[in-house]
Amino acid sequence: MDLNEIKTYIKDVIEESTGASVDDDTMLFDEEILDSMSILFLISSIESQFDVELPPDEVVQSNYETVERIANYVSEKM
Amino acid sequence: MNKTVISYLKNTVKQYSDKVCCIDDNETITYRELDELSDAVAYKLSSIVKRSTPVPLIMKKSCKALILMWGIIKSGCCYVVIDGNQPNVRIESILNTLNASLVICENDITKKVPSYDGQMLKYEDFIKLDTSLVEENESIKDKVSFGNDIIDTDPLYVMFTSGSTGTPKGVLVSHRNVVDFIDIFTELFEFDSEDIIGNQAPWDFDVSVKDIFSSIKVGATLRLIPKKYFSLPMDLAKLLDEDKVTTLTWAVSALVILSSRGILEEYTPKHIKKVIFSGEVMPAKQYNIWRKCYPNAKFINIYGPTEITCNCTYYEVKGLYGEEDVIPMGKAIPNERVFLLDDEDRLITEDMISVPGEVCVSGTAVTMGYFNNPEETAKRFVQNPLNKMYEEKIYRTGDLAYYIDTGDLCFSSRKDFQIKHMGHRIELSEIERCINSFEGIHMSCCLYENEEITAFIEGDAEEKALIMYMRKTLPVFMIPARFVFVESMPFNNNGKIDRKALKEKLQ
Repeated sequence: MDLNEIKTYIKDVIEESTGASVDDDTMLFDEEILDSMSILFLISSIESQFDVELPPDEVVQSNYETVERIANYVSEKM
Repeated sequence: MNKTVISYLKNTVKQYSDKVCCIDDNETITYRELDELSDAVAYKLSSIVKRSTPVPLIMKKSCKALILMWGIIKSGCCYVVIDGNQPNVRIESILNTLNASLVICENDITKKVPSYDGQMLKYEDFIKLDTSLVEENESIKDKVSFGNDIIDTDPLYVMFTSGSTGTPKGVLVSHRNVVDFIDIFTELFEFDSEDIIGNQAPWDFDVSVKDIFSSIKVGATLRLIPKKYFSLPMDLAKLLDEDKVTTLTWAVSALVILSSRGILEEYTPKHIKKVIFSGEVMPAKQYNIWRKCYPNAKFINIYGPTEITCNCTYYEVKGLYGEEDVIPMGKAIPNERVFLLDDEDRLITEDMISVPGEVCVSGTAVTMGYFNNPEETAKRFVQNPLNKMYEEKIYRTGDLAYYIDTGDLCFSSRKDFQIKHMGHRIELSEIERCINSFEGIHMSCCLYENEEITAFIEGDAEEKALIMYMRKTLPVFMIPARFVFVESMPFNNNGKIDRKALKEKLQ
């Protein structure tokens, strides 16, 4: 799977669910774009789209800080 | 006697001057620093604004925000924390209600609210970052002594909540209201200077009042937890553990973030001694997870709306609960009278088990009413219908509750269409008003079932466009999770929208 495809998908889900527009390096938590609900929605969307498992104890800022980080993290899981 | 909250700070500074008062992600301040720096803020403020004026503070919670807040308090004004991330029209509506001519903010507020034409000040306008503050403040101290002329009926803060008319209502709260509550709260739940209090609540919620003033009264340490941690529960658990947090006075929804995804059991922060929760009914299943992790901690369920200063009932929760069991609201907090009235304003007594009535509150905890809104104030802050002999103001909460055989109260439901969702108090009619104002929509009705807001809509509109439109006016937590378009809205015999019929469509 192409990393860019993953990024595009993640961006679409975030933009759709929050109404915010984001870049690869937008700080998703510091800028309060993702909240406790929208991150759950994002995780379950990624899990079913790419058939990966993203465990709750790995939901930490270092894995989810930006679209770029999430895409890298997800691609390692595939 | 503590006359105002300022004596809390004065007393604590005397005893714990170099102890850590507040910690955020970037810095730490001592009690002495809070006291001296807030003097500098108050000194400047008192030459700009008249006393008892609400001063909006539009910034994220931080040590600096705490200094500014205390500067506002010492200047004799009342603080109003406003979330800068909410939709611009809401910020504008709040500033209009306050008739604000001065705003303290992090970022240029006119970018969000172009109509605002008052003064804007930043932290740096009060405190020079490069000068020796202590020296500078010594000279200020010679000139004035802050707070001595403030009396206990002066306003301390305004907190805004969702209003059914579409305009947020600002609850005005006095020093007396808070001192009465915090004196009892800290004693009843045994707060002391060893506590490290983990502040979850945003400061535009009155749960934050308990964290801030309890902590400063007893000389504890306040650890501010930024909002982002509540989206990242593992990081949150680590923060609580590493910073040795002992006390959580949190919204139920925030506690559930840790317990519902297995984080708490896997990584249990070691120092928690006291968990006080409010905002919604705590699901017994989630409470049990917490209790099993902390068999020796104190767990307290507290209840009450902002209008009666934080809380009016409490219940210490012991042991484990069956998953269907209800955790009671409990009994009145000392020096508050909490009673139930039926539809015809007759008293429901403790022996009338299971009979629901509206929760009413009297005592010094009853706040000053809604700022700049006498109509709404008159609806809720009323004469006690049971007292015909003298003036006795009560607050009618609109919450329905009933007694159980232990004499404790249990929450039943709302009298109107206000809901609690993710810790937020929401008037469903405020959402409906917003939907109805969208082109092509005839009418709408919102229901809250299974922790989800569903909007039923009669009319022609594109769902995506509607959501984009709503986001401009309403905070994210007020946007319905589901939109159901109906051919025609069902009505009951009274000519009102038939909510029961709509509810059936949900199944």
